[in-house]
Amino acid sequence: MNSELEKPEVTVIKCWDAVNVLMPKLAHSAAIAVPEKVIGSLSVVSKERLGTSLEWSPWKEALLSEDGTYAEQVNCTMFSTKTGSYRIPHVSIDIEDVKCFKVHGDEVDGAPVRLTFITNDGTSHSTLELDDMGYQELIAFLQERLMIERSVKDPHLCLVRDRRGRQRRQDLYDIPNQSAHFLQRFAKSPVTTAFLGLSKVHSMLMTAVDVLAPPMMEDGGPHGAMDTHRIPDFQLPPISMNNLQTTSNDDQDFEVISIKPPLELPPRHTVHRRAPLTATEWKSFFDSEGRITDEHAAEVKDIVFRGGVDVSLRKEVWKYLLGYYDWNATMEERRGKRELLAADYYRMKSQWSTISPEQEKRFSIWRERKDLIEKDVHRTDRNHPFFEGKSAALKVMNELLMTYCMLNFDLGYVQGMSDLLTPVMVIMEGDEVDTFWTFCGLMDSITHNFDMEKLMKELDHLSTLMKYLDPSLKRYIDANDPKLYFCFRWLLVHFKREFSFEDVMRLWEVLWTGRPCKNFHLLVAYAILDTEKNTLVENKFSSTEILRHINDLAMTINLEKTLELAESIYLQLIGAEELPSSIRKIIGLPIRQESSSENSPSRSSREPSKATESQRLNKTAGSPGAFEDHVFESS
Amino acid sequence: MAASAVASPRVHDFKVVLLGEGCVGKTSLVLRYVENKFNEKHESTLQASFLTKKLTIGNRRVNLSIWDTAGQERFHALGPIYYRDSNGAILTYDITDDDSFQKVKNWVKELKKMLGTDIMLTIIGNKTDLEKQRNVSVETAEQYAESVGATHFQTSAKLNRGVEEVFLDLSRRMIEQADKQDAEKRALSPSSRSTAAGNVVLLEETPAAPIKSGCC
Repeated sequence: MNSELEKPEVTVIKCWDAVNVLMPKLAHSAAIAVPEKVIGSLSVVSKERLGTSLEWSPWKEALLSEDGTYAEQVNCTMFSTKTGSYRIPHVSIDIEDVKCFKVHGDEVDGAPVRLTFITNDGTSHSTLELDDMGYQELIAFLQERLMIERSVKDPHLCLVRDRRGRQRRQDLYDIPNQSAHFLQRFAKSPVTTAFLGLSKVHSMLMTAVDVLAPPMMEDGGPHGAMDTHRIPDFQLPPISMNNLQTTSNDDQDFEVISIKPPLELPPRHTVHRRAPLTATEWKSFFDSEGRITDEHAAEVKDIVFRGGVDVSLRKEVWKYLLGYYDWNATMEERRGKRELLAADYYRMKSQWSTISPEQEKRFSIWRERKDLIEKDVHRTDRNHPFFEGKSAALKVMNELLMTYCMLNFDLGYVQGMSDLLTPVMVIMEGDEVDTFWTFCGLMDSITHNFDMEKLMKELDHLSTLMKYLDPSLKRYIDANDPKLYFCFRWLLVHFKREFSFEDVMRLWEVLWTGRPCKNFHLLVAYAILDTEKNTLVENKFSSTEILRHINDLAMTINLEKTLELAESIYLQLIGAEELPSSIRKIIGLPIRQESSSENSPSRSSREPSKATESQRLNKTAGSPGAFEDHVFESS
Repeated sequence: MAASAVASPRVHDFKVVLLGEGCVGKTSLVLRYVENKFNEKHESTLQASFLTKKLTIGNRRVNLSIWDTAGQERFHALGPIYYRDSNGAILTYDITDDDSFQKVKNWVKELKKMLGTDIMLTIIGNKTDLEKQRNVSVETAEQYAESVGATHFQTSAKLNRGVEEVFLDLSRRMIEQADKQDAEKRALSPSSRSTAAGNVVLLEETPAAPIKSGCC
C-alpha cells in the first residue's frame, strides 16, 4: 500500500469496559438471530497525526462464547454461525469531528444511557449504551476538549460549539495549540460562557418582544420530569423559546430572535393505533355469497388504517385494498374475474417471451429494458429469505417485471419498480397471476412517481405543506435544499428503503386505505421531518448534511409513532380555521369559494363563527365524515 | 515530524461525484474505497448519497466528499444537482457493457459543457474480474480518455484492484488544480495576501464565515 497512507502510532488514553452498541435494524428478518446490542469496549485513542478519537469494538471473548466464529474487517467484525452471519459495526469518531450527540429516552438516575454521535458531515454513528458512571465520565472527558451545550429546543440534543460559541460547521483536522488552550479555558467555565451569550439574547428579547413565552422552568425543561443535571453545568436557559424563531447571524456572536407568527392551527391531538385486522373480524364482514358491502368495506379500511392487517390475512386483504378484487363481488364473480385476468396475464407474457433472438437484435428499446430488469432483479431484496439464492423466485420476478413492461410500455422499466414488487411477491407467495394484478393495482396508485416531473410536483406539495405547518422549518430548508431532493427516495418508492420489510408492508397497507385523506404519504413524510427538525436546524445542517442525515435515518424510524404523528398533523389541518386552498387541494378537501382570499392572510380578520374543517366534516355524512367520528372518539 | 508543524498545512475540501450508467459499480467502488466492503447483492441506488474520506498527501490534508448517484437514465435530470461545485468526477463504465462506455462519453460532454476545465475527470472501467466477458477494449478507452484530458483506470471493486489508486491520483490532480487556481488568483491581486483561495482553508485561522458546501 502507499507509504503516504501508512498506519499512525496509537495511544489509548482512556477506556470504558462493558459499553454496548445497539445493532442496526436489519431490513429483512434473517435466519440468524441478531442481538439487539453487542458488548464491547469504548476507548479514547490518540493517533499520531490524526488527533484523538472515540473507538468502540466488540469483546472478542463474548463473541467466542457464542456458537460461532468472528472475523475482523476494516470497520467491522463479521460474526458467523451455521445459519448465517451479521456485521457488527465498529465505532470510530474523531473528537474534533463531533457536531452533536443525542441522549435517548428519559434520563433516569442509575439507568444506562444511550448516546448517538453525529459528526460534521452529518453521519449518525451507531448508538452507544453506557452505564451512568461511564456516561458521566465520557461527558466530563468530552467537556475538557469541546464546548458542549444542551439545545434550547430539544433537551435530548447536545451541541458542540466552536470557540465563538457558534454551532460547529466546519470540518477541521486539528486545532492548533493556541486555540486548544483557548478552548480549554472556555471548557472550564462553560456556564459563564453560555449564559453570557444567552444574557445578550435575553436582553435583546426583553426589548424586542412584548410577550415572552411562559413560564420559567424549575429544574430543567419543558419536559418536566426529565432531569438535565446529568450533563453537569448545562441547565436549560430560563426561557422557553418554543414560540420564537431564531436566525443565525454570523457577524455577531449571538442569535437574532424575532417572533414567529402563531399558526392558526389547533394543538396536536394524541391518536392511538390499534391491533391489526384479525381473521374473525375479516370473516364477519362477508355476506353469505362472499360479498363485502360498501359500509363494511369502509369499516375494513378504517381498521386497516388504524392497525394494518394481520400477517396471515394479507394475501387476501391486499387483493381488495389494491383493487384486484371488487369488494362487493360474490365469490363466484371473483373466480370468474380471476380466470379472465389469468388469461390476460399469460397473453401479455407470451408477447415478450416469444421474441426471438433475431428480433431482439433489432429491438433496442426492448433489449435495453430487458437488461435493466435483469440487473435489478439480481439486486433487489436479496437478503430476504424469499429471494436469497433462489433462482426460481428471481425468474418469476423477472417475468413479472417484463410482463408489466408490456402492459405499460410507454412507462417502461424504472429503477424502484422492483422494490415495489417484492413485498407483493412475498405476500402472494410467488403466485404469478395474483402477484401481477395486485402489483398493477399498486403501480396504478404510484405510477406517476416514475415520471420525474410528477415526482418533483410531489416534492413541491410536501414543501407547500411544510410552509403552512412550520414556516421556520420551511425557511431553513429553503436556504439549503429548497427542492427537498433529500426526500426523493422516500416518495419514489413510498419509503421502501427507509423501513424494514415488515414495517413497509404495514405502512403500505395503511396508505392503500386512502384514509384519512388524499396524499397521506406526504403527511407521513412531513411527520418524519417534524421529528428530525431539531437535529437538522439546531445543528445548522447544510444541504449535504441534511441528505446524509436523512439517508442515515433508514431502518431507525419508528413506524407506529410516525403514523400517529402523521394523523395528528392531519387532525390539526382539518381543525384549522382557514385552511388555504393549496393545502386543501393536496389533502383532497373541496375548495370553497370563500377561501380564495388566502393570498392575503389577514389574521386579524378571523371570523370566530366559521366552523373548522373537522366540524364541517362531521356534519356531512360522507365516508370521510363517518371516519372522523371514529377519529375523535379515540383522541 | 507531524504535518501540523509545517508552515502552512492545508486542508483541501474536495467534492468528487461518481457518474455512470446503472449497475456499473459506482456504489461498490465507493464502499470498497471508504469502508473496504463489498456486497455482490447491493441494492440499486435510488437517491444520491455521499461518504467522506480523509487523506494525507505529502503535507496536504484532503477531505474527500464522495458523491454516489443513481445511474438510471430516468434520473439523469438529477445529475446537475450533484455534479455542480464538484472538483472531480469519476465516470464509470462496466468493461463488459459497451453501452455503459457510450454513456460515459455523454457524461463527459455534459460536464465539459457545464463546468469547463475546472473539473478533473477520471474514467474507470470497472469489473475487471469479468475480464473474459470484456466488451470495451483497454486501448479504445485509454485513447478516448486521453482525447478528453481524463485519466483512465481499470478497477475491480469486487477484488479490490486499482480502487485506492483512482482516488489518490484524482486527489493529486485536484490539489494541483487548486494550486493553479491559487496562483492565478494571487497573480490577479498581488497586493492582497490570498487567504481564501479555491477550496483551501488555512488552519491557522478559524474562518469567521461558515463554509458553504464545496468551497468557501
